[in-house]
Amino acid sequence: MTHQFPSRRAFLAATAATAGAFVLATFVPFPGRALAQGGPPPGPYDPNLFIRIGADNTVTVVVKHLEMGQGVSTGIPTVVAEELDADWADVRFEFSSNDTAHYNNLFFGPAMGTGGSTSINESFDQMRKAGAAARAMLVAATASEWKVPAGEITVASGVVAHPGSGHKARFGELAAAAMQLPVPTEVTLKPVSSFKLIGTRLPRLDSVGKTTGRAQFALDIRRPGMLTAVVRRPDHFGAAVATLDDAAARKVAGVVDVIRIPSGVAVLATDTWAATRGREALKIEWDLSKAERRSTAEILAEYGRLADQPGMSAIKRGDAAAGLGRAVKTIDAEFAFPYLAHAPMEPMNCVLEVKGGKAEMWAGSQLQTLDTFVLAKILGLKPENVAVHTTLGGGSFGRRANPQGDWASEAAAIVKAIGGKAPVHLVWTREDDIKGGFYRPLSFHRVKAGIDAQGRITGWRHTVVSKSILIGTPFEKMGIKDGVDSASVEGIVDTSYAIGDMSVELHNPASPVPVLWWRSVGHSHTGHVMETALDELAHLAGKDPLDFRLALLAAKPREQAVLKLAADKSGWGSPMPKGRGRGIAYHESFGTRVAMVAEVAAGDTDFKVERIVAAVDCGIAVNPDVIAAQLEGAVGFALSAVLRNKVTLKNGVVEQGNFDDYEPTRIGEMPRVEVHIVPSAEHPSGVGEPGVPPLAPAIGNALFAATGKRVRSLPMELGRTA
Amino acid sequence: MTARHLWRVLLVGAVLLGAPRAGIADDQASSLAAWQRLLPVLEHPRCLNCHQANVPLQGDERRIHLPRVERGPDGMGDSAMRCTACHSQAANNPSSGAPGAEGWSLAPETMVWQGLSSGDLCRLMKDKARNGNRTPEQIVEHVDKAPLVRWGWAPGGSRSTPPLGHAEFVQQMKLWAAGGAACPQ
Amino acid sequence: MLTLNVNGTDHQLDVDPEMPLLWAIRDRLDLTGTKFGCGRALCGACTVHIDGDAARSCSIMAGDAVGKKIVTIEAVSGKVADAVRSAWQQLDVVQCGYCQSGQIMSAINLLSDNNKPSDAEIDASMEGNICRCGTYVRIRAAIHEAAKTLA
Repeated sequence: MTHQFPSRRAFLAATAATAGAFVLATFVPFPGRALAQGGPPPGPYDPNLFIRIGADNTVTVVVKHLEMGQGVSTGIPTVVAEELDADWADVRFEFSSNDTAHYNNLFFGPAMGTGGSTSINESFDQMRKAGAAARAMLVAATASEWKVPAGEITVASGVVAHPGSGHKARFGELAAAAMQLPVPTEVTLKPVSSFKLIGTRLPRLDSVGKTTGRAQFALDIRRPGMLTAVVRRPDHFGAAVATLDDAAARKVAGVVDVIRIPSGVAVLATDTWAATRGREALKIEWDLSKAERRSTAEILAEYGRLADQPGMSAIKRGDAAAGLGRAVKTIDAEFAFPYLAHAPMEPMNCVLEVKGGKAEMWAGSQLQTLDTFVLAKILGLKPENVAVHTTLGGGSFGRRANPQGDWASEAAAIVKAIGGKAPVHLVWTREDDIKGGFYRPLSFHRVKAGIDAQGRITGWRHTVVSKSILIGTPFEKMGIKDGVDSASVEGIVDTSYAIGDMSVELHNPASPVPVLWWRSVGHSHTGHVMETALDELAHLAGKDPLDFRLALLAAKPREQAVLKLAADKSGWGSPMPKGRGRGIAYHESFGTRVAMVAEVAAGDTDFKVERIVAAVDCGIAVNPDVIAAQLEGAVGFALSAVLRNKVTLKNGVVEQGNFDDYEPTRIGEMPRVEVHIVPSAEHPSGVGEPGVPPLAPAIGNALFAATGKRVRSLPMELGRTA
Repeated sequence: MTARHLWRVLLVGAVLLGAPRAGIADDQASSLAAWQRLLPVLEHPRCLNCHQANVPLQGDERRIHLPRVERGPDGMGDSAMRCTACHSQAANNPSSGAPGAEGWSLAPETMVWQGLSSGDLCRLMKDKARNGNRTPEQIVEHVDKAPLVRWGWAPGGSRSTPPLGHAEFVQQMKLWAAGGAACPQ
Repeated sequence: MLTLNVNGTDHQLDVDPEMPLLWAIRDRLDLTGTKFGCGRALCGACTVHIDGDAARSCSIMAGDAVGKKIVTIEAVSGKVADAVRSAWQQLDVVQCGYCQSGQIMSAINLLSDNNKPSDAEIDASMEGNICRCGTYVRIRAAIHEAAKTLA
């Protein structure tokens, strides 16, 4: 017997007065530090929202997050199954509807969404309560049926039993009655010490589907009569269509329609190949009057000039200038970071169908609520008439969480233009993806820091130049304070290290090049700057880089433990052969502490990363194997940005386009990776992103150890020294 | 005036004069002159990129083939990285842009040209033990007819073509062969 | 009109012979286990077997596949395929999983040719398959594991 969800309730009644006027007034932004500290507010835990127990004993856990590889579709069911005392072999998962009133991310206020490495963190207590409530309801139903005291009933591995009477039943026999009972207002959670599933290596629930071709991503959705659309977007960001000649495109076999939409020109066809061929036949002249025409070299030069001027104050602690005046040795270091594309393996796409005043979208969306509002506004529908079916996401790294809802809005504009006469599958090609913007922002840092005769940091002046990710989005209100975008300076202003006299200033220059959070957001550059500069100071002070860091973390046992664990497991301090070097880095992001030791073999113009030893403290380790996988994967992902990835503009036009000139890490470049987890009983924090920030500085510091050459900017090109 | 130009003048002169039977020295001179014209073709990326020891090169910038592929047992790559995994044995692929032609593969191991001096490359060309057991005449036939060689002159995409036209290239190969396949030191 | 033999069945398809095999498989036969990643034979997400050899279906013209046996992730079978799948599941190689159809098809090809590949041989053979999630450590381990069960 399966149970129905409660009918969809008023959708976002509190905030959804008008579609499109949606502002996340109470939202704590992804990069916000508050996530890690205060813990999430309570959320609904009615088991009927999150658990369905079938007559066949299967326990289906309804997951409100997007599975994009991070393992959430295993982790959330683990937490539920733990408190429910389910048999793991019976546990399945499915994705929730976009019923935001029930499936909101507790850190995101009234919005459903996956990001900022929040999933386990925000829903750990909520899912435990849901599991415990369901267990209590099973026990209550059983007690009344067997007429035995509830306190004498035991539950283990999906079996409810009353040892005294010998009664025994599997969940499936009891669930129908149990789930009709009132949800307990108080639930008792297990002590951490009695966890049986949490903390063990349970197999991923998505492994079988993903190894048989059965797993369904948005790109795999097929609807009757569906057309495929590709969009020709301008080569220059900010350009618009001036003139369009679509005569040749319309003649391509399979092309059904050509439509102008705000982002460019859409070609609709019976299949993907016809659509792309039709697109190639378009003749378009572009209006470049508002377009970005500069090259990245010019933008970077401007950033460099800005860095020498006073910016907005992000933090001012003590007197950095006076501290620098006291220094006996100083560094003055510049760091440049390129635009980066997320380049998930599954290109952006979604299927949109509008029928009878209702819309349905199938997508690997990280921000279902925002996408709902985007669709509702463009289609002129009420948000409650827009259903978002979350599919598996073929990677994302932040790209499927777009506050501007770029791909959703394209699909909506196309379907609106054809009057909803067919379901439309909007498909981006790889070139669309690499050239399409929403990059990790191009950034420039300048750090002046000094030490005294004892090697203690006396002052730290830091200037960041980076386009704001949050300005102009619904996240602006909470993420921007006094003009300072927290996503540009996170990882600096909240550094774990005791740096007394510190000033951080920010410039956020405007540009038509759209930017977005890219796995670990601001930490993707700030972590590298902090850990590289610290390493330079350690060498300047003549101190061991590990000892130097530990001294700056004197009152922080969790931070120290992570650093020491990575160092110990790596053999830190033992001699390395000539041409090889070891480097260490530590960075906390999204509440998770990660240290890495890199070993590199360096040549004159090239280097190979041979081994990464990582240590992580993410609180309770829900699934240690998934945690290890996320750290391993973060190494592979971040390595490409260390080795070569950059998106560059030449007179405003993106120079890269596919995996030849924007080449992710390949298997032959992958180092050995060892992951060590610090045992903990603290509330869990996320692991999707925190593995990224320490990789680049660990490698750069290892290169310095091997060669004496300091490479500060990314990607690391050995011919270049700053 | 470069040596190459000098030889060309002499050669044209010989043709114009209609010399009925040039002497051995003249044959050798015209053969050498032809070789000098052949060399930039043989060293052009369309040819040299696949006359490599283990890993082919790609593009006019001669980068390592991406993704990295290796020769394998028969010059056609190995297991999941066979040439035919991506390259047609008939034609360029208009959709993926991957080039293709009959025989698409690395040149045999004996025909690795990369890094050779002009003289060494020339001697390799006529050494039957290393050139596929071909006489100079058979080499002419090969460069005239082999689809993979001919592809170099119709490579598609934005790929450049060798500095001589194909007909001219074959003509020079004939002259080189006819003059005794002379090689510089 | 051309005939493609996919997963043991002949399919009559009204497609241009130049249409990439990938789109014939995905958009005409609705076999969506074979993925689109780059369209230019750079990433391997679209890997299928043609007459037993791994091939990038985005770079194979449908017309060139006529008369050949095409096998996709949905139907690939046999001792090697079983060993590879089970090693992949046992070691939980997948993350987002989008590239894994292609990874598995390449790994089956490798292990069919070489029942005890070294790390270097694995790297050489799997170089054409990109995993943006960075699961390479486990891909190597799973291929070794599958080799062990096949030994």
